Amino acid sequence: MFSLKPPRPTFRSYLLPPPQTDDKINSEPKIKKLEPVLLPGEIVVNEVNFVRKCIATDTSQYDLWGKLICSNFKISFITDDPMPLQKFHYRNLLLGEHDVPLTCIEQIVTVNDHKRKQKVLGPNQKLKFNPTELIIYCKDFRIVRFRFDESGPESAKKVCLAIAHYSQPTDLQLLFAFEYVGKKYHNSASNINGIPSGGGRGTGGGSVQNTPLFETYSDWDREMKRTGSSGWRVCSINEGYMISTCLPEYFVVPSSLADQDLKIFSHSFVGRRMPLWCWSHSNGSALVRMALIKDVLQQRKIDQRICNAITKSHPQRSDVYKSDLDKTLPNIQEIQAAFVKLKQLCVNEPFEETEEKWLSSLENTRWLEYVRAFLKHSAELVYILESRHLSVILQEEEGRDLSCIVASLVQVMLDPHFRTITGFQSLIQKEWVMAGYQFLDRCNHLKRSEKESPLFLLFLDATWQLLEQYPAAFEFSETYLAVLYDSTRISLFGTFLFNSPHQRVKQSTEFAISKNIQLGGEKGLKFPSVWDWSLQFTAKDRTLFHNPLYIGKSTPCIQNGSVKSFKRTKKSYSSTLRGMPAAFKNGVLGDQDLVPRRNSLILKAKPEPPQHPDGRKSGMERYLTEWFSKPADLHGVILPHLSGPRVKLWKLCYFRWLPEAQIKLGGFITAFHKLSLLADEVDVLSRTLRQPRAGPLEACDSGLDKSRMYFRASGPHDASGTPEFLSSSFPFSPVGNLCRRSISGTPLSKFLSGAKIWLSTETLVNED
Amino acid sequence: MWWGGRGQSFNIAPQKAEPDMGLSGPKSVQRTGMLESRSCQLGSHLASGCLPGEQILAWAPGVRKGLEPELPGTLICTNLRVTFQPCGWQRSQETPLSSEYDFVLVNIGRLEAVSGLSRVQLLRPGSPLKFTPEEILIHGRDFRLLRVAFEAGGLEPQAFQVTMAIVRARAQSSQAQQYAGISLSKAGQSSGPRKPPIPLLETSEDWETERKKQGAGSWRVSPVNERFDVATSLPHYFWVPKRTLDSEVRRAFGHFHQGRGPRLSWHHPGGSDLLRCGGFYTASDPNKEDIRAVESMLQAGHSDVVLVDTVDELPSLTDVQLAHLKLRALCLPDSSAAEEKWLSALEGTRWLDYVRSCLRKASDISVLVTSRVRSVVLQERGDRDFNGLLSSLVQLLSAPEARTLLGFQSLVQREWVAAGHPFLTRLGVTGASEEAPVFLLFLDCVWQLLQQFPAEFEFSEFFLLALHDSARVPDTLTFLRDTPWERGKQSGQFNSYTQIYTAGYSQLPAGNSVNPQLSVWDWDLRYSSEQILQFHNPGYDPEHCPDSWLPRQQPNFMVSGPPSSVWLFSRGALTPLNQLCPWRDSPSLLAVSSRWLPRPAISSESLADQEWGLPSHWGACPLPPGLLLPGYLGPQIRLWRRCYLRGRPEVQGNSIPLDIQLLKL
Repeated sequence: MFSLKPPRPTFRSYLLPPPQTDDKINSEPKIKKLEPVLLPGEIVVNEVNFVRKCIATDTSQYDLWGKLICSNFKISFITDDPMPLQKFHYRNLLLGEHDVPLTCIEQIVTVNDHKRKQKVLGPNQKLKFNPTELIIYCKDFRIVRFRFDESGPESAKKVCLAIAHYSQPTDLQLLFAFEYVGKKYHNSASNINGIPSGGGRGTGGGSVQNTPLFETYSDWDREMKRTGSSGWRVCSINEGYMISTCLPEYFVVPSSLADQDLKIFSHSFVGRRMPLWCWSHSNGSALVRMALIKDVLQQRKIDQRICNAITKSHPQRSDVYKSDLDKTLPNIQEIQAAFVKLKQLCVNEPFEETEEKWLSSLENTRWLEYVRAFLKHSAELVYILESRHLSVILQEEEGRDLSCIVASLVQVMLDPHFRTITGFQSLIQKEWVMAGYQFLDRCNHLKRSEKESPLFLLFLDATWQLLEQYPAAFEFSETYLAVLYDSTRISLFGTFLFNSPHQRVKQSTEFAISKNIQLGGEKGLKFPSVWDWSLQFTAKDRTLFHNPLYIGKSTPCIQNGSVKSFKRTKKSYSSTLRGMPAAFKNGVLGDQDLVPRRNSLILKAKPEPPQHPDGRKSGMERYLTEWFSKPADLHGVILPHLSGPRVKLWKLCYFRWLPEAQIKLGGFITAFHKLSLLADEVDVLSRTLRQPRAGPLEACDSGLDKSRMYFRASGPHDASGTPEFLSSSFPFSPVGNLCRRSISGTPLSKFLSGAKIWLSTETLVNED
Repeated sequence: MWWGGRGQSFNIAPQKAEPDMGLSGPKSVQRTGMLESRSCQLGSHLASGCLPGEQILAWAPGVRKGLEPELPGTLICTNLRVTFQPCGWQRSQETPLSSEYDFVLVNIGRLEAVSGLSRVQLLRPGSPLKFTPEEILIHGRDFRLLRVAFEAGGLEPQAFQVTMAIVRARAQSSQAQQYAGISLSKAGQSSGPRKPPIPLLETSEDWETERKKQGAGSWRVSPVNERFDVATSLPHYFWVPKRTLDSEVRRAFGHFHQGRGPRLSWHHPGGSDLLRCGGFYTASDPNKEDIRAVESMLQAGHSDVVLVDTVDELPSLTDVQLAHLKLRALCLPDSSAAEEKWLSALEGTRWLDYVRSCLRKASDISVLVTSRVRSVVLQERGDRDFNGLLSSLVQLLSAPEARTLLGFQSLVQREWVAAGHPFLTRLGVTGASEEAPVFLLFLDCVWQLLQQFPAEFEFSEFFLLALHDSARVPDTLTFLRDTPWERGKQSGQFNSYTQIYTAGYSQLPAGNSVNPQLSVWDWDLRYSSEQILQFHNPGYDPEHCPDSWLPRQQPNFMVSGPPSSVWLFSRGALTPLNQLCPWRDSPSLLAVSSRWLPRPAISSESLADQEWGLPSHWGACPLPPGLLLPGYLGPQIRLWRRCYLRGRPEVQGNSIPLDIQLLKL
């Protein structure tokens, strides 16, 4: 065993008392058996034994013993020790309970508390001391802490350096997805039967089959038909990325613009990003996104041509409304700054210090303000499209950042199709992945760019606000949104790995050539798609994606291919929730005539809201007032409430890893649980009704596999109580991550609440 | 939205046909004719809505604004309330008070008259109205808002009259008068004597039944205060240790502030006892026997005694009042707080901070009660405010029974009404300076619990709102008196048509007696049966059914001799004490009342961690069955939007509360 240097008497270790030697002997035989679970292409780079994972700061009582492994995909802590008293774990099939994907690592800190030194490890750096402790800060707000008191000092150091090296790769092709896919291709070459499970259809997962990826002509064609747009056509001039490397190969343009014109115009746009059609309203108004025209001389002329063409594509030849996003919305740096502050607030600072100032600190991050700004702007555009029947152009310098958020939010508000799971996924494919949102840079997978900005999270957060306000309008649950956010940091999927579709093709072709992979006719390697949720979650766990409030009235309006149909679903909605409070509101049931008294958006009691000289503005207010005064049609347009008390912090997303923020047996999930049981019961019953010949039992049996609920009613009168494992963090469990509660006053808290993002040098000396 | 969400809807019968006033035509043409029809209608119409004893003082036609759509109707001022009666609206017989259109005079927090865009006058009692108002704004103390624009065209005098009438009526009404007419209007319909829906704890049988229900075997009901000669603020009966004689009780209680000695609040089925008492009366000079009596009552037969300094870490009464005022100002529709500054403005009220500290303290105490068999004594100088709040919260957290509808009402009746919470003073009905809405703070805490544990409570948010609003409705004596003594004295003696003033009880007129048993819990007097159905939380799905709870084990814990360990719980930590009572040699323990202060950083471990040695917030910790540990960190405390933002419909929006969605399912 390794001898442990006694701590210097002057330095009192607040962190952990030295462990008993007996423990080591006991745990030794166990550790030998510990083997990592590896994915194809995954290799162990370095490992160290006799590591303790700390899950409490002030006691080592609950520490787990095991082996720490760094692979080219993740860091993995392998242990036989069960988590103390844990009853439930939402398992990601790709990751073990204690694993952190390398792309999820934000910062690595090594500490030697005997020498009182610490160092933030970058790639290719040297470490002059043997670490006694490793603290890993994750991008998803987790903190993981390991102690090396009993492990070999050299191997501990090596693992730390390996983690630092592999989590900050210098090249895109070093990300694990390449290795994984390469292996798959090789395997399939040797076993003829295996076809590489790719980024597209054909994989077994349920939703991926239905999610259009917009990589092909036909996907765009189908989307145009679905929205009933006329006057637009799919254009294929960018096939082989001949025109622009940041546009998809196929996109939709006004029919009146010929390929030849487009080719000429394209030179004038930033990034050669010419106008892209996003969506058409049933009234013919279209949503278009476009980069700036950099050629000043041509600007006016081209602008005119484009606008004319869009006008021509409108059945009523309506005007075009242009929205300059750069001028009206916070920029990406501001958003990043807000997010960093939010992270500091939610992660670093122990709550005891901030709780009295919690609300103002939250306000100071400006995160919610920005979420509101995007929702507000999108709602205004909804008014233009829906009420004023104008087509809208989203203009932004490159047209691939803020436009992604705004274009998506407008469509979520307007088109109920995008509130289904498949629809939402297709929206992300269409407006983010294919439109060239720079996931690689904005997620900072390579940890080197200054371009990091959480725009995608902002979009998910804004969607969550809508979900929170209209819980029955969405097919998916907030768990789905959180899991989707997590998936951006698993470097196995091609979906969120690249800056543009072209980059995927180019990089993977290079990689294929270097690895001697036969691509055949394919354009680049087929990476697994995030939408193949079966790669990450079991079928049972995937049912948590479903929103019980939505069940029972799912998407009758989508199938016949026209958006108009969502207008006519009044019939189906009258039986839904929305119809009910109208009759119920006065405390008496059964009367559908309601007093036309609803809430207004006009806030001021006095004086009267000033009439805007600009007619449009007041028209907008009228529109909103009128809209809010009626019950919302959940299969029609939904608009966000924007007042201070209505825009909230997405607690599940930001607090789920904080043990101290967890409310056991509480939180929304307990109501969700109850709802699920009821929804499931309704589901089973209605299926029974639909199969009159089958006995109720058979119907139930056949229904079980079809059930879309995670929680199922076991019988018609299921009286089982709230399961004990439910908590406000469900389905995530913060147990196992470093708990920050009892660290105030200790050296650890000092460096948890410091600068850069995390560190201060007050107590511990930085190495260099 | 159908309930207090906008504070406006749950009380009205659906309006099937509006147009009996012929409003469909253009207003200008019809105005004169309409007015005539309206005035002749008023006789029958308004009177029909009147309660027994209610008199119409003035009225004026107007249009309700601020909500969509604007409603034409009549603004009526009576000696009980201000009502906006929309045209054609028929008051439901089931609901004598509409939570949408009725503003009881005592509920009016602020009155403003507006003329033009700029002239605004705040109307105070006695202040003359300087102009003819075009609009009147009535801010309810329950956060509702009524905004009525008067009709022009020769009706200005009426507008003036009604405004002045409201000012005067409100000034006169700021007394503790009861309008039994509200309950009478419905109580009269049902024949025969009513049985109180919950035991009102006015008889010794009620106390005995409740004691047995709690399984408090080593306690008994003491009739020592039957004549209110121990303390007027205490109920007739209370629970004391079985072995303590009434003479000892009398002796011991004399050494507590206002005679409020230690009584049992709740007996935990695991064996612990939760006691409450007033501060030690430091000026008294007890003899040895007295001290022994006091000690044995505090000890209650346990070897482990924890004294809880109740006010420590909690806001003072002034703080609570100030925070509530600020919160009300913030929640006004014209509040100046910008959307981006909403959070810091909310923080500035400190209301949520106070809610948080109450929850934290209650959570700590419930850990104390649950983790070990001991006697936990809540000590507050007056024993009438925060003791009740904490004791009720602790029971809600630890006793599944208290989370049922009946259980909760019994809890409030016992810990607030019977225990002598000075409702009248605290709710500011008397206009006294000691106003502090401690009870409303408590309801907010309960709402937080309901939010955090939506499946653990049998009652709904709607019920809490109804209770919240009832605090301002002078129909029963429950919230209209400061002590059980006053309540007992009053009930049964007044005539429904007579106004009774707190001052000078001696000159009470004798009259027909109203059933003295009527209380706020007789919901059916004010709410329709549909509304009462909505008091139930459809998501109620308790993990621990109240029946199948812990076995009522009765450990033989009665120990003789002094307690082996005595602690003071303060600032989230237990400090050992040498003795229970302050009189022998050391200075008074609670002589210096601690002010509201944040908890020092050292006590970073929560009490649950200390008690169970495992961070309870891990969620994996096996909590004792039935115990809920609430979240009390900054982000976990929320604003009770449906209550406080009722004056701002735009904030409420048209979303449906989740429990209604559940109902639908």
